[in-house]
Amino acid sequence: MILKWLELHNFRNYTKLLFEPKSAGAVIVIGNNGQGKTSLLEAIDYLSTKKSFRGATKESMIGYESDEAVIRASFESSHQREILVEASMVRNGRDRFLVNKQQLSRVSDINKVTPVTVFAAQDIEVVRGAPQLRRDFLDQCVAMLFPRGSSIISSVEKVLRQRGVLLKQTGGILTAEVASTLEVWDQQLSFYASKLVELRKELVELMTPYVFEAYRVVSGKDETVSLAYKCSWDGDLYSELVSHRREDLRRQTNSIGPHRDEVEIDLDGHPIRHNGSQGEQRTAAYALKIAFHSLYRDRIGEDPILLLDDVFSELDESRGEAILKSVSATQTILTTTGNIPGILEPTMKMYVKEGRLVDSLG
Amino acid sequence: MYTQSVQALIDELGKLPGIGPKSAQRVAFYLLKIDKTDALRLADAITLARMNSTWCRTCFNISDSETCDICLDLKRDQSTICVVEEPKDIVAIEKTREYKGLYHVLQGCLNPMDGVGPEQIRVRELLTRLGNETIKEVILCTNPNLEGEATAMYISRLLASTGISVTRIASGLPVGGDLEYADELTLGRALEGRRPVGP
Ligand SMILES: [Zn+2]
Repeated sequence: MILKWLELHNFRNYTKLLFEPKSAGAVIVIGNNGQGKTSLLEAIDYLSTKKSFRGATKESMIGYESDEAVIRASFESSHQREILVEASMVRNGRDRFLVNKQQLSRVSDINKVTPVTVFAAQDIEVVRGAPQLRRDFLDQCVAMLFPRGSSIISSVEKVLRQRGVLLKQTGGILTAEVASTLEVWDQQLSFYASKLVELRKELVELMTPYVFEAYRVVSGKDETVSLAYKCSWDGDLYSELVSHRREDLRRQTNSIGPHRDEVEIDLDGHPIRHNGSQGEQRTAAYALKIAFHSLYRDRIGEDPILLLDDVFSELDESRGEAILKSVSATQTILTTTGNIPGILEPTMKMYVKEGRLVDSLG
Repeated sequence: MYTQSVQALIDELGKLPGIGPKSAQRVAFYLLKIDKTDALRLADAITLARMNSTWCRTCFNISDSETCDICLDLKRDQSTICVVEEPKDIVAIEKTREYKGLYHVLQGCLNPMDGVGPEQIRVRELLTRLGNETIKEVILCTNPNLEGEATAMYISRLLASTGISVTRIASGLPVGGDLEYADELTLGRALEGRRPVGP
């Protein structure tokens, strides 16, 4: 997959922009912080995920003093198929998302049409941050990889919200009536949650050999990374929910379920979150990204466009080069404040300054 | 900004479901431009419909008398009750001409986030009915979403020991739809609810 051209209107600090990488290869976007390097990648990624990889709200992506941001782009698949994607974010209205002039609303579909992988310096948080971040990463992958993934994820979220509100409404005491209402939400939760955990476990299993390999290549060391999915309950979820009812009512919260599960990442048998150095954590984070990129690529038969957001400033030269070698990408777009690995031979170099792209900083 | 009467109209329109402040303004300005007789006709229609409509005491469908036409119709199968969430669901089912039994309108579904529990829907009234009438089958026709499923499950558990046959409508694929474009959950459910093919 390659990006042929991208047009931005009132997207963050870009009032108007035409960016034309045109062909396969590596495009380097150079600029100081705060000039709009990351925003450019954010716009490209939006066309694949319908959201910001920085976790930004749509209001913050719409340009200052404007009511609508527009992103238009043309992609070309490996089968020379042209794909025109047009997205607009409206401040007080409905957003639009058109693929070849057709409405496409489900994220799992959009992803397959214009696959994009982003590596960013903050990816390290997936490894060293709170369990929520690892669950979010898994669920993003689940939604992309499995056809029923995204609807199961949203069902689980909804049941958890309904059950959580119900726990608060009941006043903390388990009467027969409370039990009979909780009953139906416990049934629903165990139904959808079991399906979600099945998918997450399958994903972890599929990813493990890829992560193992990617970590060795990037670190250059003979170390073993392994993933382990840890359920917050044992055995049948429904009977566990029933036996947790009293406690849940007292604490007014859903104490067990997929929202309390954890994926442990171990390096040579020790949890890397607590025992790993920053370098090891960063390497593991990129190994996860490389793993899913490869897995997804094998599944859809297309190289996702690779976006690297200021990845090399935090990595030594050999690790940076190893990442570039282990990710299969037809087109790579990367941002940097200056330094890039020596093996990279860019097909195009651009400079970004105050929301404008120029050929030189002159 | 507006005269008092226009502002009052905008405020009232804004209370309607699905109408935000902007739409309320738009509708209000449209109404100010129509013929005065049309305006009166609309006002009368609202007043008449509201004044003459009540809930059927038996099934809680919309009715212009204590008992609705469906409940009064003795030609209908008096041993089957189809449980729906809203009166509009009755209209949809009646259009199919496939069903000849009675109805019971819950006037909602279990939805804690909207503050709706078993007491806020007409479940107790359904139980009373089942005690008084000789019902053989209850068909649970709530929506095939989370809340509808939860409501169906709740009622089926309440009726488990009554000896009444309780069934749930199958959720499946829309006729004329393309398999390729069905969403995964619908397709999955349709597969789970598959039936043998004759002869
Ligand atoms: Zn009636």
